[in-house]
Formats: sequence, C-alpha cells, structure tokens
Amino acid sequence: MKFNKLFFAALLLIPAVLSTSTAKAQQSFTINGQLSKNQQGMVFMMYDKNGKRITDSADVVNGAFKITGSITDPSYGFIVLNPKRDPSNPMALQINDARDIFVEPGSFSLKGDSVIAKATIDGGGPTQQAMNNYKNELKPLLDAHYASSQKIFDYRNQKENPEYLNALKQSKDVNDKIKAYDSVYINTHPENYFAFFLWSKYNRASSVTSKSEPAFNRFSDRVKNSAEGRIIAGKIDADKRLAPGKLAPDFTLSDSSGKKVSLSSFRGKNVMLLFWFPNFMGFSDFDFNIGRISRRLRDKNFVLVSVFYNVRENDDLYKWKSVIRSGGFQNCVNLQDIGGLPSEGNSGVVAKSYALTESRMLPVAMLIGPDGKIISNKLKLLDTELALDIEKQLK
Amino acid sequence: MKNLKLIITFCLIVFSVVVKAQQGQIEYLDLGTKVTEYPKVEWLKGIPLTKFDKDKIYIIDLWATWCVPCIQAMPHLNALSQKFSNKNIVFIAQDVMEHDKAKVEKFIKGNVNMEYLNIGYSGPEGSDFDQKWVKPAGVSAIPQTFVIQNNIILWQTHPALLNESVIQLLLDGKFTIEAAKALSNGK
Repeated sequence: MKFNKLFFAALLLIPAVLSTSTAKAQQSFTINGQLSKNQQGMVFMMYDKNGKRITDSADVVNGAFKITGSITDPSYGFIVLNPKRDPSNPMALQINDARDIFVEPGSFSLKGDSVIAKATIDGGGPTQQAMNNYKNELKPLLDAHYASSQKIFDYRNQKENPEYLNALKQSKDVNDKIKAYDSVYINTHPENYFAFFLWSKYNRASSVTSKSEPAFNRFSDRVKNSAEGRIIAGKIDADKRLAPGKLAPDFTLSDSSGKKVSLSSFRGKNVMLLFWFPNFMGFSDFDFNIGRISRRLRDKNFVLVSVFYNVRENDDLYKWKSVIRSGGFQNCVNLQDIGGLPSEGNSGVVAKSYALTESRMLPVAMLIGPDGKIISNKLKLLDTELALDIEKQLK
Repeated sequence: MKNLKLIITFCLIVFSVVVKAQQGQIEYLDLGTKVTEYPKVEWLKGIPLTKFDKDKIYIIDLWATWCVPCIQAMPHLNALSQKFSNKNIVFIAQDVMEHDKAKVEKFIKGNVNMEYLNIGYSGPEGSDFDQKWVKPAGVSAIPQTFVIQNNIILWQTHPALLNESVIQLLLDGKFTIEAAKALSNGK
C-alpha cells in the first residue's frame, strides 16, 4: 500500500454532508483541462448531484480534455487521471493521481503537467476560488500536516519508535492550528459556501443538534437554502421536534396483511419505533439484536413497531415479508413505508415528520412512553446490551 | 491492556452468520438465560465439561486460529486463569468457526499463552456448539467472551474487558455489567 497524497488531501477536506436533493434550476459548467502534451488516456470526474454520485469521464488527447455538465449547488468532487483497475477487485479503481475541485456553474481552467494532483484550477465559481485562496493561505500548515501524516504512515508498524511518537504529536499540533484557522475562517465568511463546507467537516449531519443552530444561522441565506443547508436546517428542526419529552408524531401505515395501523393505537404501551432497511453491513447482528429486545421486553408492556424503507432496487414488499418472517422481526409490529424516503422523489409524510431526510440515516430508533411522548431518540441499535438499556429506561 | 483496547476498536473479526432460527426451534442465549449443559465439543486440553456446576464461575472465550485479535487476547486470559486458578473459576478457550482440528492442535501444542486454559474444539458451522451456542447467542464476530455464574449468562463481552477487578466482583457476588464496565473502562 502506498501513502497517497490525494487521499490525504481528500480526507482532510471531505465533509460528512455531500449528498443533495433539490428542485432548483441547474446551470452548466465546463472544465477545460490541459496537462503536459504527452499525456493520453482518460480522466474521470466524481461529484454529487441531487443526492446521487455522478461519475463522468473524458478522453485525454495530447494532454487536453473537456468535461461539461450541469449543477445547482456547489459540490466537492475529484478529477482522476488514468485510474487503474484493481486486479483483486475489478469493480474498484486504483486512484493514484487526482485533483479535487468544487464543481459549480461556470467555466474552469485546469492546468498541469504529468501529475494532475499538482494542477492549478482557475475560474469556476466563487466556491472554487475560495478553496484556492484557503489552500494558498494554509499551505504551510497543510504541507506540515501531510509530512507528519506521511511519517505516521511510514512508521505505522513501529508504534514505539520516537519518530512515530513525534510525528503523532506534530500531527496533533498542526491539526489544532488548522482547526483554529478554520474556526476563524468559518466565522468571518458567512456568505461563503466553502466556509459552510468546512463547518460541515466539524458538524456532521448525523450529529447536528439544536445546539448547532446559532452557528448555522450565521451563514447567508444562499448557503442555508442550498440542498446541504436545508438538510442541516431540517436536522436542527427535527432535533427540537423529536427531543425527549415531545409527542412522537402520529402516522398510519400498512402492516404485512395490508391492514392500516396507527402509532397512536399503541398509547398505553411502551413503544420502540424503528425505521430500517434490509441487508446493510452488520444486518445479521442488527436483526439478532431486534430479537433480543423483543424477548427481553415481552412482559414489559412493550411493543416494537418497525417501519421498513426501500433503499436498494430490490427492497420491495416481497423482500420485506421474507425478512420479517424469520429472525428478530417475528414478534414486532411490522409496517412499511416503501417509496416514502425523500430520495424516492416522494416526500413521505412519515419520513418528513421523523426527519428521515436520506437513507444513510437508517436504521434509527426511538423509545416512546405510554403517554406517546419520546423518552429517548438515541438508541444504539448494534449494541448487544441495548435490550438491557431499554429495560432500564422503562423503569 | 492498551493493546487489547486497540484490538477492541479495530480488530473485531467480522464474518457473516445468518441466524436462521425459526421461532420455537431454537433456545436463545440472551443475558439472563439459564444454562445447564455445555454443547458437545472435543476437549483438547483440560477437564472436559458437559454440565455447568452452579457453584462455579465460567469464563468462556470463543476464538479461532485465524482470528488475530483472539490470539492477541489469549495471554491476558491465560494470566487471569493462572491468577485465579484456585478460585473455582473455569476458563475455557473454545475454538469455533474452523474445521481443521489438526491445525488447532498444532497451534495449542506447547503454547505458553494457553497453558492455564481449558481448550475445546467445536468444529465448523453446523456443529453442536455452533447450533447450541454460537447461533443462539448471535455471535457473528470473535473474540467474544461469556461470563456465567449460578448457571446464568451474566455478560457477553470482549475478553479485554475482563480483568482481575471484574473477576473479583464475581467472586464477591457483586457482579453487574455496569460495575464491570466501570472497572474495565469499557463502553
């Protein structure tokens, strides 16, 4: 394995929130690339658009290439030069050389030699320009961070070596300085999407709470109304609406026999409300844990209400019924909301009221008391001791 | 101990175990479940166990020769077993999820890190131990350690979370998962 500066750079900048969903008008962008004349082959560009990962490609002829497309909100992506197929995994590409880019409407000019990672990008939109300026100003720190990371990687098998320990310390020092710089940058550039992008790096969508609201509200309307901005705003709103003590929003969905079932029909019982989809990594553990919970709490005036969502193409009624027939879901009240996630282009009422803005938030669950009020909205679904924790919370 | 924590964080060997348990066809091994019989295994070392004695404490660690974190945890378990060898505690290193018995025998032969452990070989998926323990307890990753006292499964955990203080809790009859975690800095 080779330490790769590209991945280093990418990891440093990549935020948690990248997917989008929007109905705003798209505008075109063009990227004109010129590498050294002896470069031939292909470039691939990867970025997110309307919540989907887009991979585009173009021929490189005598170093020149052109990529065009359309986009609404800025999207952080990569242009990769001549990736190789991974012999051990034909579906994966070995990326050895790539340059990051902030795709947004406008005309970009990429210039470089034989290594695209070192190319400069001019033009484009204000976000690319802001990223260029940021990288220029922060170059000494970013270089130092790269150097210490390289050393940590080189000495990864000699963790007692003073070189390794020094590099760890240097890395932490540099990280602290970058963090401090970012903090000032974010506070002084509220109009700037790149500042929001940096903020997202420290405030992952999955962990955003109402406490994030003052910081988020400092950004301009343009930033807040971007697709990512709306996701964060939705999370903040949801955190307030779905906090412990609040009434769990009622809904009515169909069970496996087609019968309509309302959440409010379980008033008087303790309810674990679970939103899920099948066959994610670790699903068998998750499924087993659902069974553990049902078994442990069966005599505790408890009902586990599950709501199934489709994430992959074959997550249909048939798949759902086959999963719930065996394993942990057998003793649950199983309901389905197929097509209800916003990514389906259909803003489902249940997904909306429970702030299930995207499939990556699943599975998620909350505990609701007999009065219909939320007791807890943070259940660790893969924790083998979750059944015990719930039991304690219900006492 | 530091290394063992790293093991917990990074090295749980995960593989796919599909629990095909149909309701009523399987007796689950959840926390609090009463256990009386030990599934059939081949005892490669130590005293064969077929029934749990309610007056003894059992520490059963599931491992395999291919599982690096399991093997890294072994000296720690071995040291605990040595330390409490006169305390009515039975430490079992239960090999699971592999079919090459000769390989297991070769691995344990003269292995000083397993000197004080009883060692059972269960065989691969479908074995008695797999049917009566691995699947009913939802074990899909090893190492995993079961703590049993008074015939009751008290804890299903990682071997690194066991230490002398935790064992002492058991001996004093004061064991709770919360207390054990507090003593092992476990999550």
